[in-house]
Amino acid sequence: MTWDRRKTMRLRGATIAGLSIALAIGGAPPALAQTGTVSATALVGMAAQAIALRDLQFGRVFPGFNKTVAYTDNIAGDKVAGLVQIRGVRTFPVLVNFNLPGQLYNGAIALPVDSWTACHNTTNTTTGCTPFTPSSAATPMTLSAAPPTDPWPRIYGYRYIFMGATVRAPASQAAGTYTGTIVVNVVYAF
Amino acid sequence: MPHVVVRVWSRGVFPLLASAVRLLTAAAVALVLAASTSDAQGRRLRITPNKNLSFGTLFPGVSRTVSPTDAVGAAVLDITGPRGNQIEVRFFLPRSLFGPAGSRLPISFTPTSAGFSTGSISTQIAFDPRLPYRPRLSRAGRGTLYLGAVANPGAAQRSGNYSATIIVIVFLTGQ
Repeated sequence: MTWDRRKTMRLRGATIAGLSIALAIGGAPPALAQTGTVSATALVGMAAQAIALRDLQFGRVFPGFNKTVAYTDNIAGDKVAGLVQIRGVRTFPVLVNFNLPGQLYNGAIALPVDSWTACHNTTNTTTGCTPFTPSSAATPMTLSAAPPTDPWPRIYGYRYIFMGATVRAPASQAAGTYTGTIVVNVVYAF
Repeated sequence: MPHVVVRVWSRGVFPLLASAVRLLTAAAVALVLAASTSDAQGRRLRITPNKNLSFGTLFPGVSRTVSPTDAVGAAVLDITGPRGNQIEVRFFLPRSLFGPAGSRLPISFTPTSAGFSTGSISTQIAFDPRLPYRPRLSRAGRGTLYLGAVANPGAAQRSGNYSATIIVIVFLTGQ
């Protein structure tokens, strides 16, 4: 037997073995399975946020007098408008509403507050801002494009809200520091 | 196609290519394995993923539904096989997508989250991907699966990319 012949025999044997396997598998019933996969993907963006940048401050209030802080005020130690930054995906529409206190408190002693005013802008200035009346009803706004000063990847957009109100201290108002909380809610307007 | 390899050996003209032929023999077995879902018509059952299920950009607290008729978001898998044969489709569905630092984004499926069509996406018949489904391939031996889902990001959902794998198994039922 020549080398070629021996080699051929061995290879033929291997081939027959391969064929046997092939036939055994090929002869199986046709109900065998095929499998495929796909991916499910999502990109979750950041939530819209309301960030308090500055408290609304009435400064000194005297019994028997009202005191109003306009949303344009920024007089340190006397009258300072509240300032809230809304942050989310740039250029996205948002809805903003407010839970506003009707009274400020010093312990159990109340000081009435009302006549809320506000103005919103895409930049941190009241110049050219859009006035609105803050309330529990949703106010639509659009976040700014990303400012060039933002760090990479510049995905945030902003809206600034300036807030004012009036406190009404009766003549019998007890001396002390009165505080309250303004709750600002923001959601994307989809 | 294994018989092609057998024919080569009956000629016995490649003794100097022994190692290469060993490879061919192994390849023949592999080919047989791949062809093992052929039926009497000799047409192989095959499933080809064409498009992933994509929710796009989501936001915390805001659910999004991708319909199987959504040409942009729905997953698409093409099936070819024996003409007019019935197949059984079974999905293995994740409950969550996985994201940054082990975060999970819950997803769910409804009775109409999947569809099957032997025509276009608009002519699909809805079915529940959570249950086995038995459609019939077209006379040309073709069909397409579509899959949508509902993503339910939580209010505090961490931002970032999320993904998971969906497995689909298709059987020939022999009917």
